[in-house]
Amino acid sequence: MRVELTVDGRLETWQAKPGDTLLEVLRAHGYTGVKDGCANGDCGACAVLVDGRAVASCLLFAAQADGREVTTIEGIGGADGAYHPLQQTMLDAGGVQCGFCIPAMILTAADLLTRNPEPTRAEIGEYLSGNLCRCTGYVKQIDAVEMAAAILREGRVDG
Amino acid sequence: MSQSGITEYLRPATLHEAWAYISGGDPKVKLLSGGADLTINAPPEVTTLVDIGRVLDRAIHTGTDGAVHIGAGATLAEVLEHPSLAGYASGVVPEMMVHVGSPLLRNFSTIGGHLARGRLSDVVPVLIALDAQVTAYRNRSTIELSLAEYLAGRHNERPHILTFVRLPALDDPVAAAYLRIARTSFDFPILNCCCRVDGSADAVAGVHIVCGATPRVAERANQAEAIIREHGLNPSSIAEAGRVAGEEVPTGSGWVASADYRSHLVEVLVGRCLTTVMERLPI
Amino acid sequence: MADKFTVVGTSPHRIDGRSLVTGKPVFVDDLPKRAGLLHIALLTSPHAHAQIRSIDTARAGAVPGVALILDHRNTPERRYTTAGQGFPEPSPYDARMFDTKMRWVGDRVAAVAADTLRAAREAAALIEVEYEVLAPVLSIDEAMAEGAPVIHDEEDALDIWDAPHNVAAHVVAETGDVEQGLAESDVVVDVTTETQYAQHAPLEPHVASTYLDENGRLVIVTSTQVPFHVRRIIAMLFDVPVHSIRVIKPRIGGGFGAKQEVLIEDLPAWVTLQTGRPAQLTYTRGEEFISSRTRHPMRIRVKLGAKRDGRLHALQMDVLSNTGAYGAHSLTVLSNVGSKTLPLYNKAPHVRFVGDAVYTNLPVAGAYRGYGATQGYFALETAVDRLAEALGMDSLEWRQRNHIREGETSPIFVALGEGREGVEQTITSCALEDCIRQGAARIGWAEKRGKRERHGSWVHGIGMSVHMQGSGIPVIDMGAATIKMNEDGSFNLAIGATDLGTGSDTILAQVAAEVLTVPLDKVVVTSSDTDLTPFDVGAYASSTTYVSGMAVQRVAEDVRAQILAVAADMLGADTGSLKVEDERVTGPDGVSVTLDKIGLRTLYGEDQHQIGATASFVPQLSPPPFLAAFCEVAVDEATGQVVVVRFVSAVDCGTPINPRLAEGQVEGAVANGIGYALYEEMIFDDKGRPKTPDYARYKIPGPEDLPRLETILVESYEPTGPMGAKSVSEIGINAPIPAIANAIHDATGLWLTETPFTAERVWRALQNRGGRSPWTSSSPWLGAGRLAQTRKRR
Repeated sequence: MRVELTVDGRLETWQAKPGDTLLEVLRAHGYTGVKDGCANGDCGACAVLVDGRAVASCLLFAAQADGREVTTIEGIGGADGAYHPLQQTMLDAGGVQCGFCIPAMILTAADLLTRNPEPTRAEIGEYLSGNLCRCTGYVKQIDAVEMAAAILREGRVDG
Repeated sequence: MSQSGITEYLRPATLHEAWAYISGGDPKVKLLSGGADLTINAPPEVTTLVDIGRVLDRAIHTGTDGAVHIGAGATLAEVLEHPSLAGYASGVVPEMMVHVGSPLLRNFSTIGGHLARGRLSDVVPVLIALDAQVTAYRNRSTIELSLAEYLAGRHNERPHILTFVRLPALDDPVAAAYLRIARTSFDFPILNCCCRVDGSADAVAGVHIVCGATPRVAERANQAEAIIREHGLNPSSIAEAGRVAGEEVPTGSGWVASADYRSHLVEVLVGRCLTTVMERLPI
Repeated sequence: MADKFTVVGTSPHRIDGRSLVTGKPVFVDDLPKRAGLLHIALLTSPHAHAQIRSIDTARAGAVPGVALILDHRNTPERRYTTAGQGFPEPSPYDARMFDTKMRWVGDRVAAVAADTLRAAREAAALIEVEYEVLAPVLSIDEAMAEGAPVIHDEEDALDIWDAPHNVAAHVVAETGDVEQGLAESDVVVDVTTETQYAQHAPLEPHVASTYLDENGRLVIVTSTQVPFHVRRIIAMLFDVPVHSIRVIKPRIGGGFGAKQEVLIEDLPAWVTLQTGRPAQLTYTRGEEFISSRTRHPMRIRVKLGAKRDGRLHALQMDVLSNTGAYGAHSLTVLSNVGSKTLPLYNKAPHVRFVGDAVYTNLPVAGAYRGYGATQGYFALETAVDRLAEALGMDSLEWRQRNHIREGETSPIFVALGEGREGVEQTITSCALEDCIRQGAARIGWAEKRGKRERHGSWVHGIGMSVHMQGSGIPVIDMGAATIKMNEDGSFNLAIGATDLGTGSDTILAQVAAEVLTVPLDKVVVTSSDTDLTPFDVGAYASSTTYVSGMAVQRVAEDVRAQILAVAADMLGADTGSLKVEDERVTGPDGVSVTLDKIGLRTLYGEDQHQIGATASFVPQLSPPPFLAAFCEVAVDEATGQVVVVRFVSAVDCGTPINPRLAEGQVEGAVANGIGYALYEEMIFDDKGRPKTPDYARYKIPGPEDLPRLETILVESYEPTGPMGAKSVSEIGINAPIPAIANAIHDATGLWLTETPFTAERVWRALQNRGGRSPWTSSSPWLGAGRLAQTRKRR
């Protein structure tokens, strides 16, 4: 079946099998920034934004994304490869170790910050509760989200 | 892992068209609204998905009478965030919903899909306590029935589509509270509990005490409710109601918790829930 | 100490950070798929213990797209160990690629290679196997019972301690006479602890991809901690020369010890060699839980005997370790239970360690961060708290009295190595006293200990534990590094060392940059490629910072000397009179030449030669990092729930090369340890089948489940380490179980001896404590003592 969707600003028209998940078709078409950690909806590594909201792409059929806008880690930054503040702060704060959870973590946090520009640490933890990380203990990742929230609030977006 | 047995994905344009696909009662055909379950747990015989995500109403609003109307296509996140729910019955629905799954699930999983599944839920005990009514669509007509009746299965046998959830208008003052116990925050509940009292602490007009994840989906503690109805809401009656609920609510043993422990949790959570309800009731 | 450095001791971004935050295709499964790729699916055993009577792959082979089916009939038969250890590996050779006997639910029956994963899985499901099901052995006690089924009854296994009795390994180490010592003690405590099956659960499962290069050499691209061991073991297993294989480790998504193993590389490698086609195997999450590696569950008994004044006089530790179906790491993890714990209280004259690692028909235990010390510290550090209580002493003071110090040694260092005799050593850096002091101040030890602060039915408690680990395996490990200089004054650093997300590429570059006086971006790192980088044992035993770091320091010093020689020529001065600083060499008269000019001259100018060197380092010591952990818990006496309110780790890792990365190692290890303490558990049914093979049922901590973990880096200076550094990656994971257990005791009086401390377990322990535990809700005036003692069943 044909699935037509926008991914990172690019209109994509793909042939997919009816049972294919969004995660599978994204990775099959080169969007390897979307990770497969469990394919069971339990770890969050596959998170992408669909129409701006963070969702587990392994739990959506590709066809459900038809006509929608999908954002992966490659689409979150600014023009000319500029970092989204979260990409910058995740590095600044030391929130990246193996990096496998990071694209999903950043996208989910980006979703949070569009609807809650001044989250407490508890609110950040709550919104990221489905994004597992085994390396960091989350300390510096939550620090990074706080730092990015401050940058966004002040309207300073570093290139 | 994609469901390799699925060979057809249908996108009906109307509710009736969707219903027509399932009207034959063919177990190979399944309705899909939010998703989640079917991508990982589709029974092996399922070959055809009928996507009703864009056909279902997803609006949430409060009627002039104070009833809250929720389209079955509303996502759990929309239910969590909508002011209509925050303002209804102590905001017990968002109080519960923030614990359901994670945002990555809530952002696309629908209330209708969740209720139709009817398994292992935090949502069901709360909606039972709120006397939620559901609307089922079948062959160009709809019927409304209580969620409790719906889950009891009498209506489930015939192909239908859940289209609305209605939380009834509240005549008396109402307070409600919800608690759950799990190992981590993103985890199935070991036990959950929702209590709701209508009226006032001294003149109780109605009581709902509902426990879930026992592991049955939702159990009313009728004898415990009777104690509160009779003696009002005070520390002594609450303690007694908790004790009685712990004895009457059937619990089961599994690898995550034993029946004994669950029964003990029933007593504790019912006691705590009722205490919070007492504090939330207007004097 | 660190302020005398410029690059070391700072926290620049990790050098691979950009690729990770932008989602570049740097993990094995992201790399472009080669044409003709064969996908591999496994058929694993449904039985915990069974003989394969027959395998029929006819129907499977008929599935379109199937290229090859592997089972015991068409693959090498030789016995080996999958343990990623140096040669000769101190683990039994008890494994085969495909065995005729299945020893756990998840053991390999067959593998299918096909054009698509779908076809491979379809075919695997069509393989017909006849099993003779045998009685499974599902616990240490069952394995050791008289007449127990023999799990390893094969004739060609090597180095199993006592196969007929299911004992994979046995270790004894003794100094003095512990019976006498206990008899002479004024106070004796006797504690037995049990820990559970736990899994590393790295977000990226095991994955390996293989192909033949343009010249027909086998290339293995794999998510591994041990590329050089992979090369050697595959070569040995297939009986092909080492030089016919190249192993590359790209970015990997966590390992924690699960990838210190040659777990799956043999399958795609064999398929590639047989078919000429590229091949890949990616473990599903279920396979990652069931058919990978786990932590060794252990039963450990500790007896401590002390004099009235608190001096530890006798220390006995008896260990029973469940090594699962195969013996990889069985001996070394067992040894580590004692070697990384007992020296901590070095002044006891009477010490005995006895341990057995026992086979069971359960998932294979292997290397897991902490490596036996984690289990050992539960027993030891809770026994210490009990001993202090029996002596009427503050347990913090008891530890201060008895712990090892700089300049001291322990007979255990020699008596217990990793599977063999260890190495004598004296502690050359130790800031544990300071760690204890700072950690105690941070948590409020004096103010909060014993106070049992209450909030409703939640009661608070404070606990502590102290730890040492090691920095690599002395005399056995080796790391090497190569540097060459470019014409712009930059350097290429090639290291065998393996970054599994720890940031070792970054910190090793920092060491090189420090010695060569260049900014970090002038050191370009290539790592973990057996063709391009010199040897390194790999990332385990907390070795990289110390062992690989010293190799880098040495080679950088060698290169710096070469630079000075050229500069001396250019400046007409003696090398001894030259100073190198800030990318410039300055002579005694103030005339200087920049590194780029030196580089340019050596490549294109005159007396052309490649400035470069290789250096190796074999540690003679394993200088331990130290850690003092302080934990505040809240226990809900009504439900048994335990919440970690605060967790403070005060760590001495010598000079932290990159403080933020060092903190990250501690925080991640502590987080893992908290999950292991409170709720992580692999559970099996009475046939040995797993009940928790996914993240939904096996819970690891999420962002909402942990307090903001606090790390205090307490600096010391390790004279034998690079820039004074020691390693730090494992030690943090040992702290949560004992610190939490001791805090629960402070709060409730309970001594918990079985992990995980689930709510139900704690609740039952509170019930058994006797008396009624009063509980209240948020309203304090709800009557106490309303808890019925018995449940009436309907």
